[in-house]
Amino acid sequence: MADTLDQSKRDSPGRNSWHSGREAIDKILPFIYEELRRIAHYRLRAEQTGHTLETTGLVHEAYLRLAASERLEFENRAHFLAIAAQAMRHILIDSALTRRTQKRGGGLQPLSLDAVPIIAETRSEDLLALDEALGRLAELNQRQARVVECRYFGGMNIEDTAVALDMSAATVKRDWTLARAWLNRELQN
Amino acid sequence: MADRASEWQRLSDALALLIDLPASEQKARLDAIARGDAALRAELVSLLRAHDARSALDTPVLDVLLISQEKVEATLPAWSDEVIGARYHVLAAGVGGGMGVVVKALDDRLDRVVALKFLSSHLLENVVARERFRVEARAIASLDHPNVCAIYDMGDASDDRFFISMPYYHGETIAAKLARGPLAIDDVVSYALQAARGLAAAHARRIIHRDIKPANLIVTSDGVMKILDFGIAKLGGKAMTAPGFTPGTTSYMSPEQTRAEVVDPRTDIWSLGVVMYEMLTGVRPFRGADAREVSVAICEGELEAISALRRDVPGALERLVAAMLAKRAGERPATAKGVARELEGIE
Repeated sequence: MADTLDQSKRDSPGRNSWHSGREAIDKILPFIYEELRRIAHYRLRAEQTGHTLETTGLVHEAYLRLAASERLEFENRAHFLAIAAQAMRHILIDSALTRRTQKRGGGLQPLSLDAVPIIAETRSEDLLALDEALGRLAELNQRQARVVECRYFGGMNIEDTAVALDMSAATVKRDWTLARAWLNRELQN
Repeated sequence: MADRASEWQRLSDALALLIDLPASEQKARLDAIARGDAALRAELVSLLRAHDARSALDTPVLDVLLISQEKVEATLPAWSDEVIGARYHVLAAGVGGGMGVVVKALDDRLDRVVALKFLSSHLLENVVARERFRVEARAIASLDHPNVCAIYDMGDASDDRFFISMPYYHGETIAAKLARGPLAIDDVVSYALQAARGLAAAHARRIIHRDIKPANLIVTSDGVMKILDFGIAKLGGKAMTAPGFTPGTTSYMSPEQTRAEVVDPRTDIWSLGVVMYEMLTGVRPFRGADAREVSVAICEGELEAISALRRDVPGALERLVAAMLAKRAGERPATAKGVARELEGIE
């Protein structure tokens, strides 16, 4: 299914959306956010049913859903995933920051359904630390930081990352390994 | 800033050279690169150490989505009273992802609570796959083994999603137990024995599970192990190998599975071996930064002895797990029944 969709989208006029950067992310944000909330809800309920399933592949599902609804205007799947990875980072960091603010504000605040937190409390500080370290890495090597963004926030494999960032798979692998070591050390300190 | 960037570039190049070297050659190369520059050497050593360490980056970010229970109770409305297949009232939504979604429902007709599993439409898009699943579901339904999750019913929901209904178990998966660390030896033996018995019953009917992993093994509040999701992994075959679909659980695949070869029941024996290893030590035997590295470790990596990680494991149990994790299927215990017999001896 993914293959045929790719094929049909490949010829569609999508280049502009990919190159418009920020605009493309803004466009995709609500969809990714919706997916995240959907999965978060399912996860919560999972503890009750005692059944757990993998939630990886979320972004890919978002892609399939969007592709099916023909609201997709990206050059190809990999480019969509790369933008989605940025959107995912944006949303998760936003949510973690909100958590931090609420905590400092003291006490529990009433939450509306729309404000259901999507990040485990214990993980949100870790995530912020990672995000900051990733920002520092971007100053040293923009490309390596992009690779981490695709792989970690987008759940993309080496091949997809290579297509999206227009690099060879070998270079993606190398960048990922180096960036991982650097970030690991930053986070240990 | 430009200085620091070029400095990192230099370190990157050196590090890339060093990382791929076997440990025995690393030191000499390190000396050659540093050429007496102690600061540079220390820098590279610390990066190599960071490379070898476990990293937060190895856990998919989606795992941060888990939030605590109480919060939800306060924030979510009661779930809809959607009716599926004219007899199931949805009580609570379950979990989404990989193979589908599970919801808790009330079976109107028999007045009992069931779990409904919906299979993702992209897994069942073609008639052949759907039919194959039906055939397999029937075979499992006829199994009637205490350690295999029963199948009550299957059908189509109004929106063309396919579902199966099964018992609603109160309990905890092995994955949830592992999240708290290694398990007691007695528990490991008991769970492994029950899983082996369930597998033996399935294998006797020529049903291979193909996706044995901690999340598919649930222990009910009575201590009874139930194997979930029989046959579903087979469906995944096509979709999961499509570009971009990285199955979340490479770690439990047998070497022959990672190579996409034809598998037989011994693939399940391997996967159960991985789960047993993890229950005993708290870590997976074959690890890597991504699915490909994990696959390489599975096919080529040497097994770290359980006794090196935990001391109170009986020798017979350690030997059994090591045998189950033989790279060549022919060198593993031939049947799940045989594994069960060994475990009975340890118990």
